[in-house]
Amino acid sequence: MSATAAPRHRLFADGPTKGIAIGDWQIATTKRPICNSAELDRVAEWISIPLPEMLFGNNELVVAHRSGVSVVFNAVEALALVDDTPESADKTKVAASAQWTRTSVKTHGSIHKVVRPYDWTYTTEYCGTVSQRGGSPEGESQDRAVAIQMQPSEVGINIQRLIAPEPILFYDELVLFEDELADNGAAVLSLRMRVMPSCFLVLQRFFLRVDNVLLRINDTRVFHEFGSDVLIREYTSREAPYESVKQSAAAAQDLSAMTDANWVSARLEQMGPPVVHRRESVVVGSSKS
Amino acid sequence: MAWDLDALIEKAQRRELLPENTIRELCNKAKELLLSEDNVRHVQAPVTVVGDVHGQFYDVLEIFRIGGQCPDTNYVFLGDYVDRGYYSVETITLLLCLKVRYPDRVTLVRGNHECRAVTQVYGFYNECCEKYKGGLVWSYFTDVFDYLVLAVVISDTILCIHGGLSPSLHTLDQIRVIDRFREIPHDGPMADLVWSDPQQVDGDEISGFTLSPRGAGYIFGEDVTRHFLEINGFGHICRAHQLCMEGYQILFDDMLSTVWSAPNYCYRVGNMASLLEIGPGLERYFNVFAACPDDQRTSDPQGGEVSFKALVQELLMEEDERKSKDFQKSYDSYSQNVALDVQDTGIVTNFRTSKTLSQYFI
Ligand SMILES: [Mn+2]
Repeated sequence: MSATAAPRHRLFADGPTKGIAIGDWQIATTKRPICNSAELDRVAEWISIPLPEMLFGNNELVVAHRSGVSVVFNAVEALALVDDTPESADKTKVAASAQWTRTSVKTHGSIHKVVRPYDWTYTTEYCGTVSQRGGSPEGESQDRAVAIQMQPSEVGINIQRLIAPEPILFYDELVLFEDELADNGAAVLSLRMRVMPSCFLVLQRFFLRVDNVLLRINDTRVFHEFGSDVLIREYTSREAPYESVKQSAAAAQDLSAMTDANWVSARLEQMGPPVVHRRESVVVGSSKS
Repeated sequence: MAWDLDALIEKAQRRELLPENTIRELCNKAKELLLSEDNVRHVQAPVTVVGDVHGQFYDVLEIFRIGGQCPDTNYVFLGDYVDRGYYSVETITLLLCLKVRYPDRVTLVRGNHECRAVTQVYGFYNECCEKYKGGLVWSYFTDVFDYLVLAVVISDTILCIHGGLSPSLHTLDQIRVIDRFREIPHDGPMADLVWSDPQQVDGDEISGFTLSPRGAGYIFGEDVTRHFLEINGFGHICRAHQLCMEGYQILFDDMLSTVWSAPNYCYRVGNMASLLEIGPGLERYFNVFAACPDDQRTSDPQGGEVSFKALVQELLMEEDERKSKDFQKSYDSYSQNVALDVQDTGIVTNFRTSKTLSQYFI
């Protein structure tokens, strides 16, 4: 656990992709514009729900270990987990819904159908795609990656390690998808990552704000301390009614804090335990160079 | 002070803020002018139709470079002038100056963001308060919004609206009789015009209007669109309101199109934008453009400057939060970083510090 010298590392960049090779790890992000209509059509063959307004389907974050274990984050896999059952659209309604529906029923009672209901908040419990490439570490491209499960873990992320002041060797952030919920709030799935001499941390955050209704944050953290043989993943889901979070907003008329995921996240943490909290890990082999 | 509109336009084009009194007078003149315009405004082709611009001031300047300056080109703007971008105040100021100067060559349609409730959430209210003291300027602008027209008909053939159709509106006359001089209501025909969306669905799954899964708002399909065009003797509906990667989208067998005029939306989406240029023979051409080059922008706020005092204030607030999480050490390293950035003027750049802070997420 003691601080040691950083593993050998090298930054790299190749077009829209940049990253860091550090010790036995390669960590890279790819950032491109939102999908064009041809790309959207291809995604729509996999994903049946109406796609978010801004789908960064070509963005990706990859954390790969020499042993063949990797965690990848991408938008399409995240959207595949959005609820599209017939009841899915009824879980959350916008603030104006009750009044709007009353008027609509009164004036246009014959209009009652929702075409293709889905969870329009795009809530997803996606926490990355974990896979294992077979064969020897040097086997390279011929090996197929197979999905693997992480195992429940007693050990969580080492917070002390993360708050220790350390230089950041590599930092990046990217968005996987975003939707403005037709100006009723926002649903954003984004990623941030930082690599330090002793460890790295990836934070994938799903942030949902339905104005005057609800705030929700699903966080997935992927963490590794160099020298250890496990990759740790923690998932938390928190939510609270919009009103109760708003009360702690400093100035009553300034609602801009409510659009700040970091601010909301801190509030939700203060307000109580998460709805869901999972700790998992996967062994990545202890090979040391 | 003499009222020299051309001088004001030049200032506005340089992104200079006009004095609060001038804004008040500008808004009063605009209201007076708009009061005489019907809910449905008729204009003749050739005309250029602009979709959402959302406070992206430099892209609005680019629109005039590409589409032609006022009054050489006749413009119809389809709303959503404010919110989300950095320069909603400057954008609406420029557009109102042009409207007052060239009332017959500039038409401003109301979008769903030209609304008190929406601008309080999506940035325009805060921007007004930051750029002018107090909320007065915001109230001047939002009062004008109540006067903006709801629809435009180009050469008796093309209907332009911000959002879409309403099950309460079958004819143009029904749009004409709406009492529009008010805040956009939550429901009813006026709300539908600025909020509703078309949806293309394969097969005949969609017929008539359907409900949005969100629990408010209508979605309209191809049959509804055809019906509306037939009843009113129109050939096409042009609307804005929805982001398109290519800057425009044509739907329903060319009966309807969406025009989107905010390139690289929110400065990061990477989308294209377009102007819909309608020729003298009503031929439609989407003039597609990308975000205006960086060298034609002055620095955006994130690269801009804040007073040292304001920054210290911000950091003190950060400190409270961080203390509660035992982040004192990392805070110290940030504050050093800030101190190093202090210039003789007592000004630091916000960019470097906030970026440093955000990198230390947990
Ligand atoms: Mn809109």
